[in-house]
Amino acid sequence: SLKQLHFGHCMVSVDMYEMRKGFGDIKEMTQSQDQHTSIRLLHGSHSLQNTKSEDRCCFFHYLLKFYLVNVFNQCTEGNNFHQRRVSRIANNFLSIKKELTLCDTVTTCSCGKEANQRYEQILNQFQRMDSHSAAVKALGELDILLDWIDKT
Amino acid sequence: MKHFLVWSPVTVPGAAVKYSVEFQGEYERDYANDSWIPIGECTGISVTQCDITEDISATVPYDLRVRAGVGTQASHWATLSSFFNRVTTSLIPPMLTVTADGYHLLVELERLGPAFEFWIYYWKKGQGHKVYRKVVKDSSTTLHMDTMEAGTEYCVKAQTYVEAINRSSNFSQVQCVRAEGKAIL
Repeated sequence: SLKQLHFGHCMVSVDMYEMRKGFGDIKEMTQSQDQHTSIRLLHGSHSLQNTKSEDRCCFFHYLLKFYLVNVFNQCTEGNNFHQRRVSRIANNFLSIKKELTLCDTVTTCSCGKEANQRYEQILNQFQRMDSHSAAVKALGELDILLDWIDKT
Repeated sequence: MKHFLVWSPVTVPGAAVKYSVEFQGEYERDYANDSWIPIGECTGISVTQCDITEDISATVPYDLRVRAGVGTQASHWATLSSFFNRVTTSLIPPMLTVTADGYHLLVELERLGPAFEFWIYYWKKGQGHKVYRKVVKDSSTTLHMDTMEAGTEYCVKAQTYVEAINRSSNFSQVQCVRAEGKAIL
């Protein structure tokens, strides 16, 4: 259940079981609250696995920070069960980000043009909505990100 | 793998004391204004333990707190003396039952859930330099370890391993059994 992600010399372990389980418990409710079904944040064409390997580390770092800063803290209302599952996912994201940050200092996790462009596009889409609706959409698309991670 | 928060009871003569538990991960401290999250199943309970397994399942430091209440009155929160990170979990050795069924060396393991792997070691008694190992994930059925030589004694020990926290337990007690028949010398 531990997925090892390799970025150059770095290796980051992702507990896919925890993430899938945590998200699976709130997926239906979260996706049913999405009011902007015509907007998509995580496009297949911009996926992690289709990102050039030298850009992947940075793009992944961006995505982790994006969820930690913009998404999870907007999704803490709702019932206690939902709150606890968001916390579980958020703390798993933080655990990955800390491991990646270690990598960042050890090796260069360079942010090339492509990574910046892709991230910009995600942010632009996100900012077309009010912050709460955008956060609910991003949380609802978490399975896309988890699939990206699995395929990387 | 299970984690329980346990605390000592508060006694108030003639009153029913209820307890409530909350947790806080590193995310809540760093990104969510130091917020605390109640554990629904452990809100207003009378027992002095709470299953926190599902809520502390990331490998980050967590804080936990509990308070007592009688009616509308509530005590101050009691919090951990230091944060808890599940990577510091000490696993206890697994329980196993070793039997000889004719020439067959069989092992029965306890069920510990999907997070656990079992590493089972066995050898002919007196030949401790030649140890065989089997890694088992599914402990629901009796395991056939090997076909034994007639009249020979075999010994077995095991430990558990949890990949998510990269921790293993100490070894279980060694158990030895003898195959039926006469040993060929």
